[in-house]
Amino acid sequence: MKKNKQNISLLKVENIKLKFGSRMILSDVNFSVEPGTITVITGKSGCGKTTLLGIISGLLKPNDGKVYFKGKNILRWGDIRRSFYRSKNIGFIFQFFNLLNDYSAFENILLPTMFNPFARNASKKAKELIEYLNLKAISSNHPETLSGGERQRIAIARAVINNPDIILADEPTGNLDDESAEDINNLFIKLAKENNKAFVIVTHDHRIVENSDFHYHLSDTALVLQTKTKNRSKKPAAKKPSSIAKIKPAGKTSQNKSDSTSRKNTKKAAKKTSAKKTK
Amino acid sequence: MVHLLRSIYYGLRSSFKSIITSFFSSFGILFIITFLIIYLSFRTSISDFIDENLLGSLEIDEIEILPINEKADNVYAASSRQGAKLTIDQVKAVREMDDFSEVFTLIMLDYRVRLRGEMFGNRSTMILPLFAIEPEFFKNKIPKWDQFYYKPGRPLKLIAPKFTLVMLNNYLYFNGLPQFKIEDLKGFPMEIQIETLKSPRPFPGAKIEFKEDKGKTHTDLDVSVFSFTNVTERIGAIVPMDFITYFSKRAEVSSGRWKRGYHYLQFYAKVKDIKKLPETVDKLEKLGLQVKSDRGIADKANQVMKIIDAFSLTIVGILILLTIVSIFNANLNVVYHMSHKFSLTRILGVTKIRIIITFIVEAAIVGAIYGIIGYYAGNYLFSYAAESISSFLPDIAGIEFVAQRNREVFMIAMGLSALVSASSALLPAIFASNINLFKAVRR
Ligand SMILES: Nc1ncnc2c1ncn2[C@@H]1O[C@H](COP(=O)(O)OP(=O)(O)O)[C@@H](O)[C@H]1O
Ligand SMILES: [Mg+2]
Repeated sequence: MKKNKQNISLLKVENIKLKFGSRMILSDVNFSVEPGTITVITGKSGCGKTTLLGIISGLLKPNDGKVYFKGKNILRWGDIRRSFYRSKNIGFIFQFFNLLNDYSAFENILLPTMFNPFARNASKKAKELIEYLNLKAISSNHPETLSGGERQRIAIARAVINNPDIILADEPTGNLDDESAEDINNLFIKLAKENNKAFVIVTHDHRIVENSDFHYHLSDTALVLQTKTKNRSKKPAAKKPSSIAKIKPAGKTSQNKSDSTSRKNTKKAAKKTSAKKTK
Repeated sequence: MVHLLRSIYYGLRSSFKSIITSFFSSFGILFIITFLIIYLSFRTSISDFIDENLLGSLEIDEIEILPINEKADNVYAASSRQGAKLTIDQVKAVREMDDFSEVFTLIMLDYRVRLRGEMFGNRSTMILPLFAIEPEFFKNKIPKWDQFYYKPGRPLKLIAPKFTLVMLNNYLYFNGLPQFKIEDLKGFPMEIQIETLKSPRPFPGAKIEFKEDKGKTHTDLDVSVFSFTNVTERIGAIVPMDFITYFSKRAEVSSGRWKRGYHYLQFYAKVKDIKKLPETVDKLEKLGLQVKSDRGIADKANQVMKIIDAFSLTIVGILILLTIVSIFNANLNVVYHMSHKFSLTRILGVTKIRIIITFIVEAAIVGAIYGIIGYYAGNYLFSYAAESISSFLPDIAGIEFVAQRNREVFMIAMGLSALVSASSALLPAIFASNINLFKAVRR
């Protein structure tokens, strides 16, 4: 029983297939996510990364495949249950922040609690978050008056106010200067390691990739786990938090099922990246 | 609790903004509702006018049966000589006919009656024939009809023809005096004097005056106005039937020889089957009777009303459709402009159904507000038009235009308006709930 529970991943995505019209966007997508880890997905633009986040959050239905959250297939749920799942278990961070300009920063942070019928002590939590994320000076400002880095930190506070298990981020540093991007990256690491949140981050930002626990590359409709050796060669392995070693095998077991295909795909992906580099 | 209040506050705050937005886009509703209110008021005024002035207050299946020598279309003239009488044989025959579900008789007291009154200091006396009909006849025609009976010792109740009120008001108007309404005159005290050859047996409530004036006896009675009617346009007043029989019995006995004391003037009858009316008319003609029916006029009036209704409702329908289309369009615009917000809230966990309901409820609120404004605007415009209409259209100057200010019309205006607004928001609401989420938040 106990063993069984340990084997259940926080999030497990299986054999996702998705077409837009006749165009295949995703055909072989398998991965799982554990608490306290940062998973990064890379891939060239238009390859379906955002679409994949939409599937994970239950906003898009794939043509085939399964998305298990704590062992339950969310794709079998109706809209109300999936909405509730989004409200309670998923936090979202975007490239362009998507704050509402009608509301102050503080009110933007509170916004998700308005749609969560089980939210308690919302404003107390918001105040704690503001303290934790160092936003006190700007909490009464309106988003238009804030810098990109500040806006993204407000958006992060909004993403975590309902205390979700998983935070999905879509190119969160894509619109930020280097320094702000660094801040945001550190914030992700802090939230993952201190608060045991799972991050799934779509990004091109090499810093985030280097600090991730798992790096997948989406190419030719397939998701392929990248070997970390490449990163290690660039940055010392010592920088990695120790907890990852424990969690990593779980990620690998899930990978075992589609071992042969993923190996093939890894080869393919490797070829492609090398071809790209020569160009 | 605080959380709930804050949710409501934010909900209201964001709703307020979208309500203001859709307020401008739904402006067209105001016109329909205003139009509808004006139309309803005109319709009611005209149909009341037709009912009262063209149809009397007889129902569609009620007919009048008169002696053949009575000029049916000239009852005013007839009343001056009190018209032709029905024979007892005719009365019996009609009562035996099974064409009718109900037969009522209009009878008249044979003795001379004078109305004596004092008005604004002038004492005046006028001849006032007394009629009576079975009290059941007044069911659904006058309020409290079942209290219209004679109670010895109490003032005699009396129903006056409506035109006397008009005449009285004309008199008052030309003398610069305030006019009476029906309600003002109810219970108005007067005195009548009935003249018999010899004094009747002692009469409760009457101040019997033995004026041996050329062998005549006068009985004085207090009377009070019970109601007004226009079922008969004969000059005279209707008193409870039991009074006429009661009085004439006493007069007959004291006169020493048999005399009925009243005679039959006409019938009011309710036909069982209006389609068989021609046959009934044939039978009655054989009895030496003629039929006066409002049915022809009523049918025509109904037809005209139906045409007016069909026409107006078609216009209202077209207006409603056009409004729905235009609001629909405006709502799509709103959805387009708010797509960012809708999709963001969807991503933050709002359900489709909540987006749809919110959108529709907001639209319904806007609609209801327009309904209220439209109700008052319509009433105002109608009253304004009613005042000046007779100068534009002298032909309809006689119609009394009364604005329809009542709760039902108010509720209809509000409900219809909310319904129109909500139904034009339905499709846009569904679109809003199905917005392509990532396209909207990607900018
Ligand atoms: N609703 C949709 N209908 C049709 N095509 C879509 C839709 N959403 C996205 N796409 C297409 O699918 C592809 C993947 O989109 P997206 O997931 O946004 O890519 P990425 O985030 O990797 O840049 C793109 O070519 C995009 O144009
Ligand atoms: Mg994208």
